[in-house]
Amino acid sequence: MIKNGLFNLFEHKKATSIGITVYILYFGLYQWSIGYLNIFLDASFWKWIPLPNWSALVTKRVSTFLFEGIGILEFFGTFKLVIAPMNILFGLILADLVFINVACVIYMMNLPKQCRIDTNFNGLLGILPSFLTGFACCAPSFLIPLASLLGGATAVISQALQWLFPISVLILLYGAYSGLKKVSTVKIT
Amino acid sequence: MKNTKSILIIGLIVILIGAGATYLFGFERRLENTSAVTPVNEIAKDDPQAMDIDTQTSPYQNYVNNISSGGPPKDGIPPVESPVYITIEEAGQRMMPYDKVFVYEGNTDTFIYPQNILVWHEIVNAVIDGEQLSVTYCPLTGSTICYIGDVADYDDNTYGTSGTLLNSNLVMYDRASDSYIPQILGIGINGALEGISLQTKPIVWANWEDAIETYPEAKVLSTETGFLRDYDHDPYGTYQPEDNKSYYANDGVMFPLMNRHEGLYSDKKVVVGVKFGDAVIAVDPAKVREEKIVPFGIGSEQAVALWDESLKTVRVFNRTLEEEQLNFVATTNGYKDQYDRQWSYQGVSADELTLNHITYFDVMWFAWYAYYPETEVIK
Repeated sequence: MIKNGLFNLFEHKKATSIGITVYILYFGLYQWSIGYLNIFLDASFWKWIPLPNWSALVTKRVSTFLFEGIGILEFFGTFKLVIAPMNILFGLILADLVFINVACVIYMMNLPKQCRIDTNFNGLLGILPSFLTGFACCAPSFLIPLASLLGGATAVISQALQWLFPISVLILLYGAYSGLKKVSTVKIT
Repeated sequence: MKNTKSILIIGLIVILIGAGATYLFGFERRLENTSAVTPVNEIAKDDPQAMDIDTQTSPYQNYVNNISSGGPPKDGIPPVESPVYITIEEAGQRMMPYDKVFVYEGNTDTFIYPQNILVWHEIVNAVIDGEQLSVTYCPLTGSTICYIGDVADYDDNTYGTSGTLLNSNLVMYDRASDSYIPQILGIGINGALEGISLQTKPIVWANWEDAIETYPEAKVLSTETGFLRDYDHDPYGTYQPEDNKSYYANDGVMFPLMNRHEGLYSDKKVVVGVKFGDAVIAVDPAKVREEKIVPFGIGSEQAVALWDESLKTVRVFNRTLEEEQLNFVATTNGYKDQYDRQWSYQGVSADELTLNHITYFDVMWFAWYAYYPETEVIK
């Protein structure tokens, strides 16, 4: 079923191209949301600046699902990306799942009307929580205004935010599974 | 197309397995690290004589019970282990005149620790004048305290961030024994250091412009910390006076408190917390700035809070020297005692006598009260 669904998706050029575009955008947005991708107009076109102790930092956690950067990659004279292999891995996992979800939606929307079975794709909701993952670490900027309203309860929110990443993965996984299931049943010829 | 599809599927599976394995591996390592240290209750089980101390009658158990997770794991806020220092000229490229810094006056050199670096690390483990020291800073409680590494049977001890908080305040852990030490309390609350007070050295807050004018040859902590952080951005806001949205200015505390004050001051009002044995006093720096000299008794000692006009900060000394109480009057560049001896703001006389310091540090009022609701206040 999954195999057929993926096969159908990759054969559909529009679904694949839009999916890949969203994949790249999502990956960039994810890195930005966790504070690892920033825009600097004085960045080099291509420059890699590793930390001297980079190997010790690869699996060092900053927060539950955030890891230390091992170097900075400057590219296109505009961007500085803190390279944290684990964060990149997690970003790719999410982006893969987002790709499948989005491509499934595009695929289903391009079916002839009489062939559309169910266009309810709740899995896309999974995109949102992951963008809040970055707040779960030590960047409490949006928690500060809440502190005066919620007092000590702010801590509970801070704790809950740490689980947005796995929640995102679970919702996206569910969406990808149900999407592929639908896509596998109809083939656009 | 079939090949592409297969590669993508395999890639996805590999990525998922890799992520799972890495996380689980990390989790295993965390468990190993945790199990290497005997929790306080386990110590009690192994040693019946210790049971009463650790689980029943320990005066520190209440602190242990009130610890909450701050989010990051142990050393997730990474201390600076090998500080690199640069000159004021080099550091000046990224510092603003109003930026807050912490000034440590060593025997031969003065060291400046920018708040905008410490906010990302909270602890700097350094050797100064041959002594292991830890400059500790908690942004949530605005407290900076310098602790000495020699404590109990441990020499040259270093401290890490435990990832937990007590009264919204950094809880450090001692690397040798894994005892937890709330920063403001300065006493081990479990393990081998339970009940043992860490010794302090004075470290004072100042603005960058005042610090470099007073100490033009000072060494400044550089951003080469071994970690990648945005040192130009403080996640809690800024100390600029007009930034009233900053955590440092608005009312509101983010984590539970053991004791909530009833409005003598606002939450973030900075007081100078003074400790001597079990005696604690909060001194309002505005009073010291106005009166220059505020003598007071604390426990069995006679202390004095003096206004340092050069760094615009409060310093607290034991005013008993060689069994005699000194009385000071302000001069243009320090203080004079009743014997007409000139004293510097650092508590050193012209004939090289030195006043002993009493443990003191700037701290936000809510945090001081949360630890010490019985505190006296000099306002």
